[in-house]
Amino acid sequence: MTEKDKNTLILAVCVAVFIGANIVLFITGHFPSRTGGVPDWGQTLGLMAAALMSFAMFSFLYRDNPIFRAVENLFVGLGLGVTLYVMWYLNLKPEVYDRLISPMLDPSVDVPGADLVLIIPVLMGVMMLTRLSGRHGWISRYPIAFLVGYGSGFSIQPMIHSLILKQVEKTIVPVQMSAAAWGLCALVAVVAVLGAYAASKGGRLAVGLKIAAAAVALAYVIAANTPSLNARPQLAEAFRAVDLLLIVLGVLCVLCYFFFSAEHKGALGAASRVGIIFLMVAFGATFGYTVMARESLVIGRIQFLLGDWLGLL
Amino acid sequence: MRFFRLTLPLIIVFLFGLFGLGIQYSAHPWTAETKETLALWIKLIGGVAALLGIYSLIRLHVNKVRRRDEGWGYSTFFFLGFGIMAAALIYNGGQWFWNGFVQDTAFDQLYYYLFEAAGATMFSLLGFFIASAAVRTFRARSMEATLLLAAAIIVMLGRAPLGEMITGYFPRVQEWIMAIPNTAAKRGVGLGICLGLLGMSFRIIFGVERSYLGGGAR
Amino acid sequence: MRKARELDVRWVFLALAAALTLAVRFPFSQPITPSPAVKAVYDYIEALPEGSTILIATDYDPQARAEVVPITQALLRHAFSRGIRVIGMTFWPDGAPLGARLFRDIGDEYGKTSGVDYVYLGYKFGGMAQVITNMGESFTSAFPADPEGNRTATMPVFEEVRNLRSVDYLIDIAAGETVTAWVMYGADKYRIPMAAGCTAVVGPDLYVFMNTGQLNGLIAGLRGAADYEVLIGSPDLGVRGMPAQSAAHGMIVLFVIVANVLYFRKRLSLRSRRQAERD
Repeated sequence: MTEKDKNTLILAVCVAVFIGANIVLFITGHFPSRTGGVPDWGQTLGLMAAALMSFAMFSFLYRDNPIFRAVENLFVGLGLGVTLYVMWYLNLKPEVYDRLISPMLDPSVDVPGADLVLIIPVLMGVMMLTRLSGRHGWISRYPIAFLVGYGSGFSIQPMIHSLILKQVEKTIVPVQMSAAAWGLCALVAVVAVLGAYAASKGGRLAVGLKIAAAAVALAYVIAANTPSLNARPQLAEAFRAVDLLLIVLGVLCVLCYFFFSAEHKGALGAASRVGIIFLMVAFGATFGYTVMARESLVIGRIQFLLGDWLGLL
Repeated sequence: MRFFRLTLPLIIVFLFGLFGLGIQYSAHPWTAETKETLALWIKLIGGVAALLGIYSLIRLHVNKVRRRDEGWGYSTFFFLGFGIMAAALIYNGGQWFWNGFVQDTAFDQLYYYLFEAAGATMFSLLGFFIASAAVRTFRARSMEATLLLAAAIIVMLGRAPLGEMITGYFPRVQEWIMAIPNTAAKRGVGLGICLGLLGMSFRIIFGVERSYLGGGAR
Repeated sequence: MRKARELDVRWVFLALAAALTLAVRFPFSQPITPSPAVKAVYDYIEALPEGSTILIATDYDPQARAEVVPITQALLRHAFSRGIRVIGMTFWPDGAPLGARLFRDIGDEYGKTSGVDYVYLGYKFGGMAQVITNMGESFTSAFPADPEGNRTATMPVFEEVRNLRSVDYLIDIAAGETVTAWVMYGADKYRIPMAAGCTAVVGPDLYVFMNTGQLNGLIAGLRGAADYEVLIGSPDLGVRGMPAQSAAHGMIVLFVIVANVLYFRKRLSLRSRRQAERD
C-alpha cells in the first residue's frame, strides 16, 4: 500500500466514523430539539459543523493535510467577516452613518454643527487608504503622523507613572528588621556570595558550594511557606523582610544582567549571575503557567466534543 | 515637494507629540474636552482605516487565485467563509445592514459553530506541541536549566489540585515563587523594556525614528 | 536519550489526548483551595453594596475561550446575584460577539435586562489609550450606541455612572497585554480599584502589579476560574476541568522526570565508558 493509498484509507475511515456517529446521535435524539420533538436543525447542524471543524483542525496532529488547510482558510475568511461586523455595526454605523450620513439623507433632520466636524477625521481615515497607492501613498503620512505623534506623547506620562515610579516605589520599601530578620538576611547574603563565587569557579569545591547554596535556599523557601513557622509573629515578620530584600536584590541583579555597556566581570559579573538565577526561576514559572494555559485549551475542546456533541457529560 | 512628503509630517509628529505629553499635566477643563474630541477623532480614523486590512487580505487571495500560486485552491475556502459572513451581515436577519444589528441571526450561528470552534481548536493544538516539546527537550543540562526545570515542575504541580493532594507545600511554594523571584525578575525586565519604550517615544517625537512613515522617509 | 528523540511525537499526542479524555469523562474529586489572589477579587465584589457598578472588559477572542469564558461567567454570576450592575466592553474585535453572548446568556439566567442591569458595549477602534481616556470622560461619548443600535445616552445603567471615574470596580479579563494599558490609562489615572482575570500565559507578568497594589486581585487561568466557582458555590467549567488539568500536569511532569533520569543514566554510562577507555 502506498503512502497516498494509506492516507486516503485513513481519511475515508475517519469520515465514515464521523458521519456514522452523527447519524447515531441524531437517531438516538442526542441533538437539541424544539417542543413537540421537532429537531432544532439550526443547533443540530451547527453542532455537527463545530465538531467537523474541531476534528479537521485536530487532523494536523497526525500530519499536515488538505482538510486542515481548507478549514484554516475558511477560518481566516470567517475572521475577516467578523472584522467586517466590528467595522460596520460597532464603529462606522453608530459613529459615521447614524451621526452624519443618515441625517443628511433625511432633509427634515438638521445635523448639528458639532457632528459635521466629524467629516475631518473621516477624511483623515480616507487619507490613510491612499497607502495602497504607490504614487500617492505619501498622503497617508499625515494621519499617521498625527496618530503616532499624539500617541507617543500621550503614553509617556502614564508609562513613567505606572510602569517606572510605582514599580520602583514598591521595590524600595522600609523593612522592619528584627533579630531573626537580620539572621536570615545574613544567611541569604552568605548563600548569594557563595553561589556567585562558586558559579565563577570550577572544580569539586565549586560544585559542593553550589549544592550547599541550593540546599540552604530550598530550606529557606520551605521554612517561609510552613504555616506553623509563619504562625509565630517574629518569624513571619523575618520571612516577609527577607522576601522584600530578595525582591530588591532580584530587581537590581536582573537590571545588571541586562546592562551591556560594561563587561560582565567583577561585581557586575557576580550580580548578573545572580540575576540569571532569578530569571531562570521566573522563566520556569512562566513555562509552568504556559503549560497550564495550553492544556486548558485542549480540555475546553474535549469538554465540547464529549459534552455538547456526544452528550456524554 | 520633500517638504510636504517628509518635513511637514515630521513637524506634525513633533507638535502633536509635545501636545500629547503636555495635555496630561493640565487640569484645565478645556484639556478634558480636547482629549475627548481627539479620542473620538482617532476612533473614527481607525474605523475607516480598518478597510485597509480588509482590502489587503482580499487582494492577497485574489492575486493568489489569479496567478494560480501554490495552494490557490484553498483561497476559495477563504472566499466562502468571508462570503457567507458578509451575506449574513448584510441581510442582518431581514433588517438589512442599515439598521441596528439583530441578535441570534445567521451571523451568530456562523460565529459560534464555525469561527469559535475552529479558532479554539487551532489554539488547543499548542497544548499537544508544548507537551511533546517538554518531553523531548526539557533536560537539566546545566545549573540554569535545572533551576528552570525545578521551578516549572513546582508551578505545574502547585497550580493543579494534584499538587495539593501530594503535599500542601506545592501550592504555597508556587505562590511564593510567583510573588518573589518571578516578580523581581519581571519587574527588572519590565523596567528595562519601559525605559526602552520611553526612548523610542522620544525618538519618534524628535524625528530620529521614522520607520512608521513607510518607504522614502530617510 | 536517543530513544526519547526518536520517539514519534504522535504517541505523546495520543497519550495526552487519551489521558485528558478519560479525566474529562470520568472526573475524580480533588481539593480545590482558592488562592489568596482569587479570594481578594471575591471579597471585594462581596463587599460592594447592591446597585454598585463594575466594568468588565472581555479582552479576549474565541481562541482563548476555554480559560477566560469560565472566569467571565463566574464573575457575571457573582455580580448579578448581588444586584451589581455590569458594564462590558472589549479591546479584542474578534471577541465582541462572544462577550455580547456571554453577557446576554448569564443576564437571562438571572432575569437581568440589557440597558438597565447590564450593557455590553462592544469594541471601538482607536487604541486602548484613547478609548479608555474617552470612557474616563464619558461612556456615552465613547460608545454612543450598543451593538444593537440602542442609544446609550438614554440607558438607565448610565444614569448614575457617567464615566469610568464613577465605576466601583474594574476587571480586565485578558488573553493578551491589555491589563498593562488598563492599569496605565484607567486604574492609576482615575484611581479605580482594579483586578484582572487572564489566561495562564499572561498571569506571571501581572504579579508585578499585584505586588504594587495596582491590581488587588488576580484570577489566572482555568484554575483561577475553578477557585472562583468554589467561592461563589457554583461549580461549572472551571471545576469540571480540574481533574483533566491534574492529569495533564501529572503526565507531563512524569514524562519529563523519566526523560531526565534516562538522560543522566546515559551521561553517567558515557562518562564511565570514557574513563575506562582512558584507563
